[in-house]
Amino acid sequence: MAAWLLDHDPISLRLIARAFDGESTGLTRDDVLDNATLFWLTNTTISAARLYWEGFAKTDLGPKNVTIPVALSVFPDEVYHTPRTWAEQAYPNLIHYNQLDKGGHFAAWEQPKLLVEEMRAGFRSLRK
Amino acid sequence: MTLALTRERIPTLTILDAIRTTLSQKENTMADNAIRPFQVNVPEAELTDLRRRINATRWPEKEPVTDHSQGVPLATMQKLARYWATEYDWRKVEARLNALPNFITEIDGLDIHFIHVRSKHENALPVIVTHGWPGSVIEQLKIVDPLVNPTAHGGQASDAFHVVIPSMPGYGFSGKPTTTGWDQARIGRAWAVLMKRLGYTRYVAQGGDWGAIINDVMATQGHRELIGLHANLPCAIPPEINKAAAAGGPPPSGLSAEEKRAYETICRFVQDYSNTVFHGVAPANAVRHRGFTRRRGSLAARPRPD
Repeated sequence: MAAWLLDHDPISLRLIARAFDGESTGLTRDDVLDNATLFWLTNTTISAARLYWEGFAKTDLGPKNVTIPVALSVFPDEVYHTPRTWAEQAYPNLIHYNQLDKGGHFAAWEQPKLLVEEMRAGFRSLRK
Repeated sequence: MTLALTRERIPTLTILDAIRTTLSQKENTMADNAIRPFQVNVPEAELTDLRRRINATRWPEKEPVTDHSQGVPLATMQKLARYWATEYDWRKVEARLNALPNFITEIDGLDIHFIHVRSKHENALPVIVTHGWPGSVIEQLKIVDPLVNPTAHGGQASDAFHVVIPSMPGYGFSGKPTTTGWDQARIGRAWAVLMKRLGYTRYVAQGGDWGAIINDVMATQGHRELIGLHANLPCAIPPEINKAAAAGGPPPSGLSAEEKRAYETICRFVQDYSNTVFHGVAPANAVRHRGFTRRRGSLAARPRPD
């Protein structure tokens, strides 16, 4: 089960596996095992994965006519890259776009400080 | 149950019964929308059992490659297992979870677990943060205090958020759906109900992975209270790029250098997650995705502790 969770995608695997090879990239061994242990204790690996059965065929990673304000943060080790030109096409009300210099797929977990700064900056214009 | 017994015993008290029934219905309605405090407390026997299973793992042979092309290397998994069974302490994260206000409330027939921390700062912006696969609210624990209490973390009071972090259906401490239909649209509608139930009439949403997908769908559902999104996995792949990447061909002409580089990353993503990922996927093929089968071309060591 743990190997399955670790192997989210090749880049994340490289980042996560480092935690057990003595090199930290934001995730500690405890971070990885906290999450894996939660899946084990709640016996939710299958019930959670069922979301793919429910929703993956309906998943569109392209523009979906989202017209409300959108802020984006592009992390370099994300599973795919999003240039600003594509972001502007997909989200006509793009209020923030930034490319970070470190971080991957699990931004809140790996680079919490950067993500928080991005959320603060991204939503600033929506505050009253 | 009490009411039924009363009826049997004193069948003549019909008015009283009627009043009781009304009260009981009201209580039930309230109970359905009730927000119940929740604490994590895993019995020690469960943790002992997990350690026993880890120690009893039957390991496969070492992979014949020196990279990650066959999945998680055996040596990595053995280091993980050794640490998991000896030094790792679940109680630490349990205490971190319990240090935050956790709740469960029933939405659309399913128990939804969530962390809800209100900022002390006036005018804090409510945000619902959604995790992805294979994640949980644990992914978000590090950002809670900096969001809620910015002045203690290099920010201004005007940066403050009220933070809501739900566990998706089937994840963590949320209920497991017993019927089908809990897709991203239904989760999005449930999140809108949750925010409404918490009294938020103007809020934003954040997410990556499934969180970003759910937020996008939510934004198209017309919830007027949802005023903005932040995504760390943008869903912005142009349709022609999707199509070309799914076909595995060369990049469409006219792309900038950065767009070409992005195209390459999408091709790699498509390869990793099979060619059925994008538009037009047949439902029967969707189960071939990462949630249900090993990655295409991956013969990873997948020892299980059971």
